[in-house]
Amino acid sequence: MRRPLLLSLPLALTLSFAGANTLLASPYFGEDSNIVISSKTERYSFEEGEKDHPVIVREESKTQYYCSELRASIPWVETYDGQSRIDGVKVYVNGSRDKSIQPKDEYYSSGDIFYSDARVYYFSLPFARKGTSDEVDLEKTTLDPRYFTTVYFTEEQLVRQKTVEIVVPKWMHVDIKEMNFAGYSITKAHQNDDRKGVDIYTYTMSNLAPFKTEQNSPGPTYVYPHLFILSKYAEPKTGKQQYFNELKDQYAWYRSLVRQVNNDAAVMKAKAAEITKGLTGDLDKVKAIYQWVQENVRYIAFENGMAGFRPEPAQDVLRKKYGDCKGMANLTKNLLTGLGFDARLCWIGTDHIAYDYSTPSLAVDNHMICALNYKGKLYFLDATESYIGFGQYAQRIQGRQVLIENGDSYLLQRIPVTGCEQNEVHSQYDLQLSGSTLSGQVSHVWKGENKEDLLFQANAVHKNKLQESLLEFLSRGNQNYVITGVKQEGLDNRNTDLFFQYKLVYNNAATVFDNDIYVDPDFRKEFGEADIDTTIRHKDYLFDCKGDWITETNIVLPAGYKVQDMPTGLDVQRKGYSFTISYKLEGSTLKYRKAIFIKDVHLARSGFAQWNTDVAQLKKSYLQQITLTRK
Amino acid sequence: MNCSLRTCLLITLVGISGMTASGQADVTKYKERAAAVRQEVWGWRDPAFTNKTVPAKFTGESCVIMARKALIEADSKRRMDWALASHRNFYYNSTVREMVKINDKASLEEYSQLSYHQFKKLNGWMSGTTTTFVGARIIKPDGSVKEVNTDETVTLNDTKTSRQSKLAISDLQIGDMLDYYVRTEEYSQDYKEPERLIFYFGDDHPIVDFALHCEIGSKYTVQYSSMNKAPEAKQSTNDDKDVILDIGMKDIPSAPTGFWMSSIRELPAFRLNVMGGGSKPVKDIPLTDIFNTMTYYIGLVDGPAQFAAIRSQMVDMMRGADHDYKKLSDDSVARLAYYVYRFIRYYNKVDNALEVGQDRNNTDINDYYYLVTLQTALKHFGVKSTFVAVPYKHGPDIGHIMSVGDMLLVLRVDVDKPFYVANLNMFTCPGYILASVEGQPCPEIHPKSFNHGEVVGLNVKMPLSSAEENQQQENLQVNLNGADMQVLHVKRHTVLKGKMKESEQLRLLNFEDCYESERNMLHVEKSIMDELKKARKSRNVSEDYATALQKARESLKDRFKEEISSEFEKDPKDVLAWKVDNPGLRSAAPDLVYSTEFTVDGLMQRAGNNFILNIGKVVNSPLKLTPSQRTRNVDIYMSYARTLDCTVSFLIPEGYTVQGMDKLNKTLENGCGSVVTSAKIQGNQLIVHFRRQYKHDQEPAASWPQMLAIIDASTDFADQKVLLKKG
Repeated sequence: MRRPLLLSLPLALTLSFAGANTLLASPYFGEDSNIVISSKTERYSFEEGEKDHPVIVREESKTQYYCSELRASIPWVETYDGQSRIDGVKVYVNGSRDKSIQPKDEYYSSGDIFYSDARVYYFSLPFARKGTSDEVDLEKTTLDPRYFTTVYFTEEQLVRQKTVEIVVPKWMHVDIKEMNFAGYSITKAHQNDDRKGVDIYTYTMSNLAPFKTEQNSPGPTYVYPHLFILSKYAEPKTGKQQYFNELKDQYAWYRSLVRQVNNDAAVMKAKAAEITKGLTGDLDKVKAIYQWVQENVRYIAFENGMAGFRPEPAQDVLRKKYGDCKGMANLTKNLLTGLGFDARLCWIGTDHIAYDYSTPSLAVDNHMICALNYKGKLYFLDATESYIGFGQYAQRIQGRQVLIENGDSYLLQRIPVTGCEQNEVHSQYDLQLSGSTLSGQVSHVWKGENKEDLLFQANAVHKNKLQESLLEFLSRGNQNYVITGVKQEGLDNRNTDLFFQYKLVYNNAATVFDNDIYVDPDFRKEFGEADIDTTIRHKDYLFDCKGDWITETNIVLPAGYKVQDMPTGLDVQRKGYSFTISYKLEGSTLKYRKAIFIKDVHLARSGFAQWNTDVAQLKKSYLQQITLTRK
Repeated sequence: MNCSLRTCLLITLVGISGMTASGQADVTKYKERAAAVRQEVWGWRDPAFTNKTVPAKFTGESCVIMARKALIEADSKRRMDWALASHRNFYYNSTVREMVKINDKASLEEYSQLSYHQFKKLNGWMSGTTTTFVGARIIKPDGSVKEVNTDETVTLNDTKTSRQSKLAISDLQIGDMLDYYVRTEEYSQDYKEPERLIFYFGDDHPIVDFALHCEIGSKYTVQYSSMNKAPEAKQSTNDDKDVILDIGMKDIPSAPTGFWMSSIRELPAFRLNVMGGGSKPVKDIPLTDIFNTMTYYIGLVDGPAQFAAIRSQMVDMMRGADHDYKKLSDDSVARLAYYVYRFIRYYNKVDNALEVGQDRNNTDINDYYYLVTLQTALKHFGVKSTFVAVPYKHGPDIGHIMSVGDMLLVLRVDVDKPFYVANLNMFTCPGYILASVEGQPCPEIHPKSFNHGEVVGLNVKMPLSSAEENQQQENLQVNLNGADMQVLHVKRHTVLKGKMKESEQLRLLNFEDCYESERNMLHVEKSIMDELKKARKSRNVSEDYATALQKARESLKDRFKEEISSEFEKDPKDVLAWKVDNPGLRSAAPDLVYSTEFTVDGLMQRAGNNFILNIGKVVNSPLKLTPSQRTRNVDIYMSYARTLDCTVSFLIPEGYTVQGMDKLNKTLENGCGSVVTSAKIQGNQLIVHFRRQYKHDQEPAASWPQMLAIIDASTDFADQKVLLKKG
């Protein structure tokens, strides 16, 4: 299960409160095209502000909605926070200004976030009947260009026609990157207005499909057409304002926030000593610290304006025993430095974000972890991954650029990419067949993120029900699958694999008809139902993690029987995944081996057809039985 | 439903109505009051909260509630306002304090945060506020006590009428004890919304010491009752003439399974009503008091006035349906009047939202409004009827009724063979007894003559349906889907009889089809659409309405797909056809009958040249019990007795024979029910028959082994396979 993170998504995408819950259930082509945006104009202007906010970004938009099928009402929602404000909203219902519609202004809350200073401004926009049009005009201001990072073209409704204008005064130095334009009919125009001293960039587009939420999708920065705004610096009359011209500017700003945090070194030293009491090896101490934070500090996501970028003091996180990713990273770092290790804070964007630090911006990162520099090697510790082992890395950060504090300068590295063997699941069955019963010894091993997932689920179960839950999981709720003598290792230790071994008596595992016995050697059949419904899924698919699933089943044939029919096996090899199944007879032992590899978590939409064909083959293989017959 | 008291109280807090005051937060005053409450609660001299020893029998538990105390204090004062008008202010405080031992991560998460409304203003015409204070402290294993700083509370929402807050409990670790409280202080003017509370002596976690203490002022009315062997409350008064109630229990094990269980009929519980009034406290409210209230509600509806508004429409429709309806028997007149009335109330209207999809099926009309007007209508057409009140099968029994909401209002139509009419939904036939009240006592309510205090007909019970009456009949024609021998093509015909149809009517019936069916049966000439088109103002609405009907029809495929998936516990590969053959709207044809056609894979395995068909899974997807559910010592409460009768006809592919049918011929019969299965070859078809019956809706705990045998026999059959052998 993924831990929730400090997200830097366009806020409109992340709403899930009572007044606008339906917002996320967005329509797509052909699904619900009742209310459409017939036209929208958006204008963003960089302007000189006032003393506290010398440069602001003013937004003015006019959105015209059209009811194409039948009367309805839709939630209209706009979010803002401590770095922005809503200056005005005018609502026109069927051509007439409607002052009776009074927006509500409330805190934004989402299941994943404990507390956020973001607020939502919302109301219900009614459409009396088919053919009516409403309009909503919005005025909004972003108070600091650093927080003006993206302009999405896609909306919650189908857009027939849209124009986006960015007005940039000559004194404002901005890069505007065009993201994910391919496949969309978007035209751009540039006007140099010397008289007003501005550049105007105008984007015009038509027939834009709406946002759609799909599970296991790449983040919106990968998918939807948008502008990525990089404010570098400004030179208004009031004096130069430095933003993120280069990465060093971004790092300097982050560092300025971190330096405001007063960590109590004495408290950290004492606690670290307590945690590592009796340990002598350096890495044993590091693991102990890491595991202690994972075990004892609850993850709670706070997003609170500037505090959303500044970690909480380590001693506060220690006292509270809860924190967000910044607090947990800060605590981990300070416990390690308390023991004399070279530990540092790191900023990182997870794989949910398409950008990296080559484009310095607040939008490129959404997470904080700790780095340990030990004997010239960098180790990364992400305590929000509650059950991952030291030296293992979650898929979401693998290969990602990581910005590591290094005094006044910084280091830019990448998180190591591990192979799918980090997350291996291995099941070994050594069984004898007697009649319709298979019995013998079974062992399972879970590693890496697959182990982490299981540990997370195990710890969510009340301990008096844990044994039963584990047996239910191992037997898949099958009463015929009788388990005894369970031995387990790793439920309490993140740094070892999770291991189960038990005796199995599997009644009715085989089917006996006269002189023949039919045996199915695969009891878990992973990925057997993993086909993708391409009629409803439109985005690429991201697997939770890489991995390999290996099953080896050895069945000693009963005396007096021979193999009559053995399935042919399967060998599917693709760049991102492979499925192999083989059957062998060695003496009187049947050997079944299945290996499923997911080497690349990203399955592009263009690969769905091949994937479905391959899964169909896998499923067909799973539905094959071995036939034994009496000699 | 057995939610933890903490959860119940917090949920109640959200719904509590308060009294007048400004809804705006006054932070300073709030903090001062919070500090006073903290001092008061931590100052309780209650030995339950000093006991840190977990009883041996509770070791190994995820969490142990060492002490739970609920304190209810209610008072009132008379005061004059600025215009010298006299008001009575009601003050109602409830405090729940718990001390819990946290033994694992799951419990740590459960108790790691508190969500509550700091302020909430009352809705509507009532004026008042509710203010909530929380406090928490952690007792470490070494005995040290750390107070949780409630200033770390974050505000989730702050409006003129409420402030919603959340507190993460800091420094909580496995092995700690958490001692916390939630105090709600309610102030309301002139009226006190009744509090109807239930305290279960049983929770998800064991409770070492549970106590409830009430101090209720003399201007309140208190009603209470102990149920299911809960201890009796000790009642006394103090010098202020407050009513004092005390009740407690120790060493309460965790509540048993929630599966096929009725908490309110099984768990020891204490029910308490607190409301304005000033009457003497009442232990075990007489049924006559409840009936008095029901009579009052019946009177409030003003049946004649409601009927007057629809009389001419009803008369026209009665005539339209049968010109000579006056010559019909009372029974026939009553049923016809019922159908006409149902059509007017449920079908013959368009709401603002133009809801005609699945949500329309869930239209809810107040029982009193519906039935009182119906009674008046029946009276107009010369048919007598009587109200009866029926407790719910899985609610408080007739001896422990504490409010009108504990009973369902039903109308008994007094014709030669009386029948009952209830208001379940728009599909309910006359004579249909709801599953939720069948078999229960149904005493009469006589609005005019009630003051005599006599309950008539307590020994009469609503008919209890039999397993034969509640049947799911399935007839499946199965063959291979073309060349792919591993995909099955299924043509399925389903008949749901009796109670079995209740939930599927809501899911599968299309409003437009039911509307047209009823309109046709009642010979109503003009439809809603005709009326909409005719009126100039609503002509545009008719287009929207047509679109809404079309969308509703388009949603049917998904609804049928969902039904197939839930029945087979497997998504169909393709849904090819679906049709409702009979909606079950009429007592002359009460069954819900529908047909579906689909393909499904995963049930046929290949073995060389042969195939193995998991015929058991085609027939039924049995209940799965966890190991702990196999042991049971509480009575079994099912919705109703029922039968599943399934016949599968499988077309044997050419060139194949069937083996293994012998294992399909089995019979299990016991006092609780039966599972009878058989298989035979008939021409080129394999005919498999499965019949499972649960004879009764309820069984005593002692019968659990017999129930298990039925469940296990079903599970065993689901695993059965036959071999299709080539040659």
